[in-house]
Amino acid sequence: MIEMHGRVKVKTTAEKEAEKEKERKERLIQYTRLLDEVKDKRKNKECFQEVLDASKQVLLCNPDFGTMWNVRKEALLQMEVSQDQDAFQKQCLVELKLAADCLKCNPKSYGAWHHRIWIMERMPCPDWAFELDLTQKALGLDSRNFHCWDYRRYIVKKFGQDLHKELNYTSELILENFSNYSAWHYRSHLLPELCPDPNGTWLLSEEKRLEELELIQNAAFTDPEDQSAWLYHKSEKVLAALTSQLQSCQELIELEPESKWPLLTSVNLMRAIDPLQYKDEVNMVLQKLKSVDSQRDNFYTDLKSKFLIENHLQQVNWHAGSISFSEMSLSTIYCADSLLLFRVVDLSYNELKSVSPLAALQCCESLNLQHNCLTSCHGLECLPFLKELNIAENLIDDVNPLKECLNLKMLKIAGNPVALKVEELGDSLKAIVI
Amino acid sequence: MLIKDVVLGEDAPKALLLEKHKEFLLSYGKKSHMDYEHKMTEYLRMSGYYWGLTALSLMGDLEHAGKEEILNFVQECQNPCGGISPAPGHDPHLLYTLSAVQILCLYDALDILDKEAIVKYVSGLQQDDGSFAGDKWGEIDTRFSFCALACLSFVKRLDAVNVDKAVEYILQCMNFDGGFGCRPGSESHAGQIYCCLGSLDLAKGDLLGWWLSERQLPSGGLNGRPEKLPDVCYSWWVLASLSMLGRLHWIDHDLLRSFILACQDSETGGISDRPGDIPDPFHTLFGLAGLSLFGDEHLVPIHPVFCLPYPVIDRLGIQTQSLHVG
Ligand SMILES: [Zn+2]
Repeated sequence: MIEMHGRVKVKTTAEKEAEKEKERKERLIQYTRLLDEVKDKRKNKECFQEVLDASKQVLLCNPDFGTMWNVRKEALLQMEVSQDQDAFQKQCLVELKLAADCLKCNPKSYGAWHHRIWIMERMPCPDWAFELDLTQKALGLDSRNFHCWDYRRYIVKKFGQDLHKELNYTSELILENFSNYSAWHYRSHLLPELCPDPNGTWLLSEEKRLEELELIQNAAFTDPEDQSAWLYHKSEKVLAALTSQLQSCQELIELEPESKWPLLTSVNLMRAIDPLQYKDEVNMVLQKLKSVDSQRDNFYTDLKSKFLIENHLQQVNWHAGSISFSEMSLSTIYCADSLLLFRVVDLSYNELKSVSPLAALQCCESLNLQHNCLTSCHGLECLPFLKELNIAENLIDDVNPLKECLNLKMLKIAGNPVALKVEELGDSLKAIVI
Repeated sequence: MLIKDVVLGEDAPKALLLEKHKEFLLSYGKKSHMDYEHKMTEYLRMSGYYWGLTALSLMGDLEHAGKEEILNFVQECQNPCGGISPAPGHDPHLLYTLSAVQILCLYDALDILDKEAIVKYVSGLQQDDGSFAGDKWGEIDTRFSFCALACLSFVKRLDAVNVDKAVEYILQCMNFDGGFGCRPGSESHAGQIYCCLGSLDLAKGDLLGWWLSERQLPSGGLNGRPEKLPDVCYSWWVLASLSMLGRLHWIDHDLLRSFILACQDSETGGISDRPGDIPDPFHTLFGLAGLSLFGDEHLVPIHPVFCLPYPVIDRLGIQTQSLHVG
């Protein structure tokens, strides 16, 4: 859909417009003639040369025209059996040239990239090394073209290229430009294959992990606003050397206190080292992030809830049967699966907006949701053992779904819109409302 | 380092120009075959109709598009193999098969096509590894997995393919950032993530949700990959994916709204990829769809998986599993 992207609107005069219109009319006639030619000759097995000529011209001005690539493939299948190997090889070279020409005018044409692969698969003598070199040149022009990266990976596999060479190639690209997200992405696939951890605990061997950390650290120090390196860092989360990482991260924050990426990374590092030890510091940094990156305010709020819940679960007595998260300013529930076995769950005095994660509380008999921001109790009806439910002081205006909770004996709804219309409730609900 | 982004001009539109957009889409549908640009985009006509008609129905104005004519067109595009072409005389493909089925859902007219033939065509494109080819020429892409699964959901015949294998393949395309690429090993980008999430009922919710929320730039617009310019169509891919993950609130709504509104063409109507560019039905649909996901009062609510108005999905009685992640 490239023709719909980046077409800047320019003001023109009536005169210029008329001239353009005339040009368009001429082009239309020519284009239509080519399409008719392909259509007429396609069915006739004798005329494949004419089909190839006409479709070529269509594709050069419209490389996304799928049917035109198909008619060429049909003609080629025919030539593959009817002509000798040299002639067919020659035609394949013509196809590669056409695909290349089309990619020059639209580097993102799915059809042209696929045609290239299709030809390489069938060619009598494919030149893999040449293709590999070609992708290198193309990536030199646009290092983020993911079609070209995919094509390179295809060639590497076919050619049996040494993956260490590929790794070196990504190193070169990254040293040239740290923001090359595509190159980082490729590394994240190459490294676990080349240097797996012998113990199977990590994706990478210890030695390699440290090397990668160093490369990332260099990238981050060169340019703290660079997203690519920090994103990659997050996924690696390698435990080794984390403390020294945290230290350098904090140095960076001292230099640039308003910079988001070091702040976010320090949170990840602190969580990875010891969530409880760094509990207060993590909170402080999250507060800071909410102000430097206010567009993602709600993300940090939810992240804070997640950490609070994870911390709480680390210290919980799993045999107690009851658990309380009361007054923790939670905006959402995480790790609901871990709550599966609790019979008494207290989530009162938080800022919860949805009950949907609570579907996991399959053993819960008593649930306290007093004083949250819930607008619906839909979803709680799937808790089979629920006996007592407190949803007081929320924004709920319908409790009818709870009719399905057959064991429910006590329901607190004061301080909700629905509390004003208790009379309208069915008898089964009216009987248990307090 | 400079962030790649755009600046919204002072004079950019700040209100939703509904009437203008209706005009733009209706005139687009009526363009003659004597128009060069129109002829050049014939190879994706079926999708063009789907974009325009869905945009019109989000604005509650489907009646004004010539229903008879469109249904005839769709019928004419079904091939003996069951697959559907973008226009008569073109070859069938999964992309246009899905667009045609979506158009018929809008009109509640699925019966006018041979449904079993569609099922046969779509299921015939599944490969041994669970992936789908786009057509008989064998291009493989997770986008096609989404097209296939969506098509079969609409005609209620998901049983005709191996859904477990299809999901297994999509999961192989998951990346270190939690996103998805075209094939195993490919880089993540937002459109692909939408297709993959639409086909799955599980994902690494937080990491992926965070990656998606990082797509929002200071201008309010969203890009498809890190270090790329913002684009209206990504507001749809990103928002729909976040909505499937239950994390729509991680995007700054007001900022995004002002970006989409600034991409409107106040002269001709229609929405473009970025402020000041030429509008088209594709970006008009995805701009409106983004606004609709955030509950714009002027628009019909849109379904985040199928990109059709909610009432249409309800009428079809299709159930989707919501994602429980975290
Ligand atoms: Zn776009």
